[in-house]
Amino acid sequence: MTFNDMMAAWTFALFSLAILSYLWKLNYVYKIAETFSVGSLLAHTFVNTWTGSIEGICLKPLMSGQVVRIVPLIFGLMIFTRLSRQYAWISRYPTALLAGVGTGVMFGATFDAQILTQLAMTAQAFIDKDIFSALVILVGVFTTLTYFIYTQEHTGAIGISARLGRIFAMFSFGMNYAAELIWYLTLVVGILIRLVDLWIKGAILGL
Amino acid sequence: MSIYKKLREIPEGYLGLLSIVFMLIPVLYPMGLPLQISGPTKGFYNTLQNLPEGSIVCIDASGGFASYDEFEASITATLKVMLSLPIKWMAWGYGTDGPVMIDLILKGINPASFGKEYGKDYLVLPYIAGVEMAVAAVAEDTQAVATTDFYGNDLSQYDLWNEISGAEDFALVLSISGSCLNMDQEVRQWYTIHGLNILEINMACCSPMSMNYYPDVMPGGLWGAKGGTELEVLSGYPGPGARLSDSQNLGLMPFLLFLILGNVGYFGSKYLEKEEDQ
Repeated sequence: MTFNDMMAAWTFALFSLAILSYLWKLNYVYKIAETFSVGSLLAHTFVNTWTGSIEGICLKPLMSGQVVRIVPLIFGLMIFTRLSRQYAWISRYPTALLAGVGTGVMFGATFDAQILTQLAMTAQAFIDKDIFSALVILVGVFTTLTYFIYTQEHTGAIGISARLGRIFAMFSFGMNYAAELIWYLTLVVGILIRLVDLWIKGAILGL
Repeated sequence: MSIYKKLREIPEGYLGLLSIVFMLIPVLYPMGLPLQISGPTKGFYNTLQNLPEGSIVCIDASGGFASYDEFEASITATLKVMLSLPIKWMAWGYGTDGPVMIDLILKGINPASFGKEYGKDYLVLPYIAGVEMAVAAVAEDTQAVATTDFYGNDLSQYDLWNEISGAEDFALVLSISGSCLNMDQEVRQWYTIHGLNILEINMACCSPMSMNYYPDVMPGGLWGAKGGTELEVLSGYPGPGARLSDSQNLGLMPFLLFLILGNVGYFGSKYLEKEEDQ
């Protein structure tokens, strides 16, 4: 194990244990590790944004004669006018442009992608002879929707449908919760594996 | 105090401790628990295998190091499969960690051992800010979005870069998602507008939301360490997934046990209360 690997293993172990110490209670060791994490994340984001987006997309092409690339740069700099009370209004223009373009790019395809495509896939299931799955999805969609009808009392047919819808919703939330649990477990296992392999076996025991 | 009440009042700290002990067993002694390969993993593998020779895959890497353990096995196995096929790929970063993660994993794989050459068969591109707007821009006019690769080299010197002008030059999109809403934006920008199918690598917690698009829009997907382990087994490229999955599976056992005990305690107490009332 090289000196750099050794340093990396110890840094990883100490920071991991410091963060995990929060399970005991909020303490200074945890706070220091947290501050370091946030600081390094910010630095990492800044460097990547600078090299990839600002330098790569604006500055280098601008230097090579693509004058139009100065426009995003100017819009970007305009955002910093927020720092001055007198000129803060200027920052509204790039913000409006970002929000406008972002919304336009997203909404243009949302109806098609999130509604029509999924309706088509539900219908396709019937065509593909996967009748059981198609029926479950169809019943699930309609009964869950009725559970969220608040303008009608949940009695009679609507009541039965809403109760069935609640069961579908519970299944859905349960599955989401289970998937979330698996995610957290993986993160814990990942830390345990590195603590054992890199720190205990590698850095301490030298295996 | 009744046994049921005692069951309901077991401190949750015991669950965490027991779970860590169970998770440590495969970490120290790898077990190789049996594994069933799911439909989305088979779809993922078959889609890559069936790509025509020379196809170019666009990798949208927005996943981050916060969930690296969820991604590592999947990305490693996927890159190995892609490098072993006569196809090309370029990886974009829509999250700052995306290209860093691809670069780190590539260093461990050594693409040259698969006979692949950087710039001709694959490219690692830098982080592009803008999230969905960046995805849309790459699909519309790829050449306008970047001038240098992740390593700061001029892109015009690479053959692969010069082959691409927009979505029409890609055969498939592989999304390495950093959130559960990523798939929606990929579908909007790649499938709805350009008709490209999308494969997904994502965290386990996002699988319920991504499954909406399976199998028509998304012919396959790998979610969490389990997905990566399945691809390792299916492709025959062993990696870090097996130990992770074993540990995860064993770590879940105390949760199941406590789930049963908690329910026995809850319904038992209710039954006793009813008896006392009568």
